[in-house]
Formats: sequence, C-alpha cells, structure tokens
Amino acid sequence: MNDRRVSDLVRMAVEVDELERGAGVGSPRLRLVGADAEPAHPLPTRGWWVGMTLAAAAVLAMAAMLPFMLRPTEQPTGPIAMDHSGAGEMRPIPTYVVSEAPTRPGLSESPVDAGSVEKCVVVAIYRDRTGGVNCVTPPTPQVWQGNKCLSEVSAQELKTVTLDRPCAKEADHALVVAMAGPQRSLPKTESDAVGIATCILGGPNGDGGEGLGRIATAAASCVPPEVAVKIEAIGGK
Amino acid sequence: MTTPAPANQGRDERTLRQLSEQAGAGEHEAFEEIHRRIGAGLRRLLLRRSAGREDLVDDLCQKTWASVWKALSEGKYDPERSAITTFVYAVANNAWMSHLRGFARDQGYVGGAPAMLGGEHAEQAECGAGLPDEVWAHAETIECVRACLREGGPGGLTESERAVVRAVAGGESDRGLARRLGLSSSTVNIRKHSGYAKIRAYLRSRGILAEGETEDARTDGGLMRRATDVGAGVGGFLKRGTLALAGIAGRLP
Repeated sequence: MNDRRVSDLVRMAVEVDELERGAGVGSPRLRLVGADAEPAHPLPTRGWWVGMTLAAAAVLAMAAMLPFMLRPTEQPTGPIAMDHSGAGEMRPIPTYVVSEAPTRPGLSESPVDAGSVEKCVVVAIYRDRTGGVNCVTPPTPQVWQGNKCLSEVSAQELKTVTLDRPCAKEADHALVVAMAGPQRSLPKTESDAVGIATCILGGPNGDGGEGLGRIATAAASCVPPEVAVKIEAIGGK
Repeated sequence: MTTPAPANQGRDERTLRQLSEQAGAGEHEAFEEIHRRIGAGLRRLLLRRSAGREDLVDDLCQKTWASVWKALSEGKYDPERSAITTFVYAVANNAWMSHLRGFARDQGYVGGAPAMLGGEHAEQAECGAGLPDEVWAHAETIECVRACLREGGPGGLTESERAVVRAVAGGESDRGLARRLGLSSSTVNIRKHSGYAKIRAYLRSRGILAEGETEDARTDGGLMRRATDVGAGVGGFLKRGTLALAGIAGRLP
C-alpha cells in the first residue's frame, strides 16, 4: 500500500467523519418502495424533487434573511453592550477582544462549498442581576472535542467555552446559545448575534419564567428550521 | 416493525448504530431516520465530487440508498465491520466509481480506464447482482483508518501527525502546510511519513494489510526514510549493487 493509497484512505475517513458529524440535520424524508404490508410510497420523480428542493430552499433563505434585512445594518466590532431599558438598542464596546475559536487543520482550506458545510457557533448572552443584557459575544465557531455533534455536547462543555470570555467578569449570569447547522444558516456577525439574543429574550417565553426549557423553545423559533439549538444557563460571579 | 420507535417523541435520541440494527431487523422507520440524518451530507459530498451535477447526484443517491436498504434487509450488513455511515459512504463511492467507469467506456477507453477504475467490479455492480465484495472490504478498511486516526496512545498517531496527514489528504501541499504551521517542509514530510507508517502498521495489526506489504511500496521513492530505515536502505543498496556488479562480471567474456 503506497503513500497515495494511504492518503486516499485518510481523505475518505475524514469525509466519513464529516458525514457523521452532519448527522442529525434533516434531509428530506425517504419512503421505501415495495414495503411488505404497507402501501408503497414511491420515490419522487427527479423533476418534482429538484423543483420542490429549490422552492423550499428559496422560501427558507427568504425567511432566514428577512429579520436581518429589516434590522439596522450597523456592524460594530467586538461584543455588543445592550441598553437595559429597550430591546434592540445597543452600543459597541470596542475594548473587548474575543479570541478566535480554534479550527481544525486541513479542513479550513479545503475546497468545499463553505455554505453547505455543517458548523457550530456559540453565542453567549451575559446578563446582570435585573435580567438586563450586559453584552453579547459575536458568533464564535466551535469544534467540540472528539468532533461531536451538538446533541452530544454536555452542559459542562457548553459552560466551559464561555467562562473565559471577557464579558464574564461583568455579568451576573449568562446564557450560552450553541447553534449547529449549515454554515450559511448560522449567525455570522455581531448584529446577527444581537438579533438572536433580542429574539430569544424579547419573545413571550424569554421574560417570564426564565425556565431554560421555555427559553430553548423561544430560541428554536429564532433560528432557521435547519439549525439545531442548545442552550445552557450559567451563573456569573 | 418489531418494536415501537421512540422517534416520534421529539428529538430522536437513537444512535446510528441502534438505527442500523433496527433497520437490519426490517424497520423501515429506522432506515428512514438513517437517511434523514446522513442523506443531506451524502448528497453534498456527491455534489462536490460531480462539480454540482444535480441530476447525476439524484441518480447516485437513489442507487446508493437502494443498495444500502437491500444489504440491510438481506442481513448482509454487519455493524461490527463498519459503522453505517462508513458503509453508506463506501456504497456511494462504489456508485460513483461505476459511473466513472461507464463514462470511460462511453468515451472509448475500453482497455485502460475501466481496469484503472476497478475492472470487473463495474459489470457486477451494474448488473444489479448485489454489492461487490470490494465494497464490504473497502468499508472495513476505511473504518479501520478512522479508528486509527481517532485513537491516540502508545504507537498511535501523535496530534501533529494526525493534523498533517489529514491536511495532506485534504489536498494541502507539504510546503503550504509547513508555512501554515510554521514548520520546515522536511519536518512536515517526516511527520507525514511517520503518520502513514503508523496507519499501515495499524492496518497490518488488524489483518487489513498483508504482512508482506511494506513501506518499500511507497510511490515517492523513499527519499524521506526515517532515520532507522536509512542504515538498512544504504546496506540494501550496497548489497544489491555488489550483486549487480557480480552479475555483470559473470557475464563478461
């Protein structure tokens, strides 16, 4: 077995790992032809399939873009401080620098369609004692240990990624919002992160009981349907 | 359906392993769940390979899933040999190679190309006679390499070797990788070959690679032999050289 063959096998192993990491993000339902005791569900014809896929993609893209298009286009750098008195009012804190998340060597420069690759980003919403939002970190790419998918990430790991962020010193408690899905559907900018924070905390479930389950329910409606969300609350100082 | 699936209660928590076992027992719903989880990723992979040919990818996906279902329902898939993801990947790879072979044949490469792409397996795959043995073996080999890349510990790949072999497999050049990692090209090359050697040793220890196959089969000439190989290499060269000279001398009038 020569070097090229070994390298090919490594490439295939990496591709299978990618395939496995992407597991959990839905693809269209498959119906089997010729099930024994059940009525047959024929696979859709190619034209119908392509047409429906394109139409669904267009609708999803429009739905995902709409909130961002309606929001002010200000693009501040660093974590964003939010005015406690009004949702959506925010001011940048330029002194905060959030380090870049590690990326896996070898994959960052692969010629893959970046928009379709499954990724995970983490946004932390830091809050004071009154429940007001102190600051929101920009969406930070995150690769979990062992390349786990988000559903396998423990609460402790979610907490760990956020504790060393600069805003942690000022906050009473924080919400860690981890999102996994196609890269094109994930928040990218600080204003995207603030939009999600505003959506999560400004919704009917965000203010009231503060139960994590209720907030998670609100969060699920604040991101595109193909994005999985996991939320963890952590205490501050 | 033998057991009620817990899938409908919110998020399905079953692992792919559990799903593949249930699908192997004939549960259509488990198979559909496997497809739901990795179907989109497989499609993207094939789109990448085919430079975005949607129609071709639709065909390949359908062929792949039909073959996977057939293998599962006939009880041929063994989860001990490879994960279901690896198996699906190997089946898709086979479908893709069959397509390439067909393309090569259509283009008139009757002799060289089909053999280069796998030879007689093409006919077997296209006649619908089930998956060729090659696919099962291929899945097992890939699974073994995955395990090797995952496992650390004594004798396993170091973190840097793993990073280098992964990056090289992704198409990165030694020089580019060296620049990115802040290392010399020779260091990258040594780590790459050290990683390859460990992968070969791992495959050998699992019986995937025959004992007789050694690093001498490397295509790039063995220029970057490890230090321990250098002595043996030089000795072998001298020995071969001496024998060659003796042979020439023997033929001299």
